[in-house]
Amino acid sequence: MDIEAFDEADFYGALVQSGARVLLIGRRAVIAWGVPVSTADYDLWISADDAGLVNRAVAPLDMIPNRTPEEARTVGRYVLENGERVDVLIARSVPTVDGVRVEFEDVWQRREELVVAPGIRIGVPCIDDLILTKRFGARPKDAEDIRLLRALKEARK
Amino acid sequence: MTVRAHADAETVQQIEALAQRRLSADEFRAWADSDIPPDEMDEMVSLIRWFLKRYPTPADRLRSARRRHTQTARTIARSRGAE
Repeated sequence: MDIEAFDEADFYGALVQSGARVLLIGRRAVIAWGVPVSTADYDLWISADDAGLVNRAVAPLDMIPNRTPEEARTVGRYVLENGERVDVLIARSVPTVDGVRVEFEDVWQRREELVVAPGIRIGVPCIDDLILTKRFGARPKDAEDIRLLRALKEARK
Repeated sequence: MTVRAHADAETVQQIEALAQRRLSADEFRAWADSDIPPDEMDEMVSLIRWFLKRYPTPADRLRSARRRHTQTARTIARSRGAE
């Protein structure tokens, strides 16, 4: 799909309609909270049992999963693509670089629902949990995002 | 004025690898958790406050990011076509 043809609101709407437990994570979540960073991709963390629901919901947008839900559960992640790239994490828990295991269920319980397009609310980790998820990959840009999220907390005081 | 920088494929790969590398726990903590100097914190806070004022809702902010990404992709496609 051409980049211009991709409708972000349709994508978020399909995720919500799917009935799956979906969290928007990564830089889109950082942006939604209020930090001006740039990104090309989408990152989701979904309930380990909900890959099928998500895949069916985004199929009309021509988004193709690179793994079956069963394969994805084994490795803990997969990718949806149609010119856009959506990295989907489906692990029940993920360790941070410090060895702390972060459980999807806990992050889901503490999520905030943000309006990401007219009439569409999507789950986003609270700022402290988003900081924790940034400790999964432990790349330089994740460290930089954490510093910015710390500044966001300061800005919201 | 338009400035175009051209990097060879090997350089691009090296930069990508640097950006995507996984840091050790100590390296990561030193980077992410260290004290932020007050002037740097002030700068980040004022940038964030500007962003929150300019784009008051999550939907506004995501739309602006999407717009920027689309513009960048268009510019890259155009510059590739010009080569």
